[in-house]
Amino acid sequence: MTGQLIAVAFFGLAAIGFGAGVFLTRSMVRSALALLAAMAALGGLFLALEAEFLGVLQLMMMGTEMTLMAIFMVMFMMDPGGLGQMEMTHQKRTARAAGRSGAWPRPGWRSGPGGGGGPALHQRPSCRIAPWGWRSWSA
Amino acid sequence: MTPLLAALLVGAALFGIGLYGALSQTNLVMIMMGVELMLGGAMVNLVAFWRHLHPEVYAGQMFVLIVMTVMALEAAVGFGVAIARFRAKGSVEMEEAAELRG
Amino acid sequence: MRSSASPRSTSRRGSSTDERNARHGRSRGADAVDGLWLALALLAGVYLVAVIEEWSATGRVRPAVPLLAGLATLGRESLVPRRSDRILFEAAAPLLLGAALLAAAVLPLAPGLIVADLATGALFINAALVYVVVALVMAGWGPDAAYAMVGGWRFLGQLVAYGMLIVMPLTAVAMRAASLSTTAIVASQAALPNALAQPLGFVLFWLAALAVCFLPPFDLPTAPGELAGGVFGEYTGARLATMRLARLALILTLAAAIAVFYLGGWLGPVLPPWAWTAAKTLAVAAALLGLGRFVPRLRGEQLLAWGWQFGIPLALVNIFWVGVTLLLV
Repeated sequence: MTGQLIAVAFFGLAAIGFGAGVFLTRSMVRSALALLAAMAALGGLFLALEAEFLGVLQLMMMGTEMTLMAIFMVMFMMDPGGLGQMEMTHQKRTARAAGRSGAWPRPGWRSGPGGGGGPALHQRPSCRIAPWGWRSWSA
Repeated sequence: MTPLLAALLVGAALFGIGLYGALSQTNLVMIMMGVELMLGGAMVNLVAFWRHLHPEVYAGQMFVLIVMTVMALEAAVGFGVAIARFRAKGSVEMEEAAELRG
Repeated sequence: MRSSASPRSTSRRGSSTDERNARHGRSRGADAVDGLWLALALLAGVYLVAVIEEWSATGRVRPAVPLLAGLATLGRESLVPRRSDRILFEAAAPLLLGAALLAAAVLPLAPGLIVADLATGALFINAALVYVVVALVMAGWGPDAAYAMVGGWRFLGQLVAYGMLIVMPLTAVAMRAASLSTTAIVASQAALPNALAQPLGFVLFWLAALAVCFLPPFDLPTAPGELAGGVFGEYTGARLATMRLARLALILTLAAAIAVFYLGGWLGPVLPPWAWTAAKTLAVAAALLGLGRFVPRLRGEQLLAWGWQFGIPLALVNIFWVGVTLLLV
């Protein structure tokens, strides 16, 4: 169990790191290949979770798909090499808040001995969710 | 921390990163990359729940196969839209794609 | 990764007989002697492929040339181009080598003599070969050079042409063996090798293998005489040596894959199993390197048109044919 946890944590952290790298780099080929690396790390994560077929299939499909994405990035971006320092983002605050609401575990949320308190989640007052989900706790 | 919880945290983080990217990027292809990351996060959850709740039911793996197919289709359709848009307008910047705004 | 002690994993392989479990147990606990033999076989194979490549180019067998040429390349200065994308430039050659070696890891040399006898071996080799393309795209984009980039993107187009022709013939092979494990695939060819049972798939996989290791007539990314070196053009010294070594390992891997999937692997009379695999692999490597030189190079759009208009329908016919023969015989 511990070995599996270490493997899951390793591949998971790699996937998160490369996934963040997708939107942090300015070079489009690096961006697409970072996405590829994140997806390959997910393949490793599947292998760590003992889904052998899915892991190998993920490695195979995403390798092709993300490399093809690289050439489309170079074709369609105005600044594929990232040397022109172009601004490529908009609505940053909304996006950041929405992303955080998707990613962050809510305060007071922890896994019980039964493997996570799913039903109890709705009853906790601290977890009442605003329409966009982030207003109550992102401050 | 159990492997299930670790995998779910990874899925949530990837979903969040993908959502941020899909909302913040102006280019269609970058938006598609954000969507791919979100689908990847969903796949992690599916595999983790299959593994730790019902490892004997292979329908869980079928779900993941369907999500993978959706990812491939999303890429194909997205590239098709991108090529059509680029031929018609000369760019795939989504800030300029406001013709349908009422 | 998958612990065999887990109670859940025992019921996961549908057709696992005692014999297969025993083999899995032996291959997982592969001792150091087996590992040493496999490493030696790999090194010897790569060297012999280098000798064969020299023979196919010059027509002379000179066993010392690869060693001397490798030492000479290692001794030269290894330049880094200006304004290169350093990460991609440096990572390309190790990634190409790693992809070739990972693909070789699931190919058996003899019964039990295999690095990793995965239950998904035939799929894993596809997954590993995809990263050849990734490595070449990185090598094309990394050095910030026009010819290299043209070569890298050309190979991506080549992937679109040959990608399905790697997967679909292997589907038919796995259908006959009723397994994705490479050892089970070899065992399924005891009566008749796949090259005779499904000749269409054999030809298609052969052509796709030529395209994977970008040998003529599918050598679009390097394109001698046209692209000034192509993807390898900006690599010098030790980096070029790594690149060439990876390319040789790739050719060896594809030759071994053809031998295992279509020519019956270790099966054969009189000689020991490893000798049969080695002989078949080297013969296939010589044919891969030698025959293509008599065919003119295909252009990218010709390759795509042939791959999609003829290759994929023929691969579907092959799957259909194998399915019918499996039902009738």
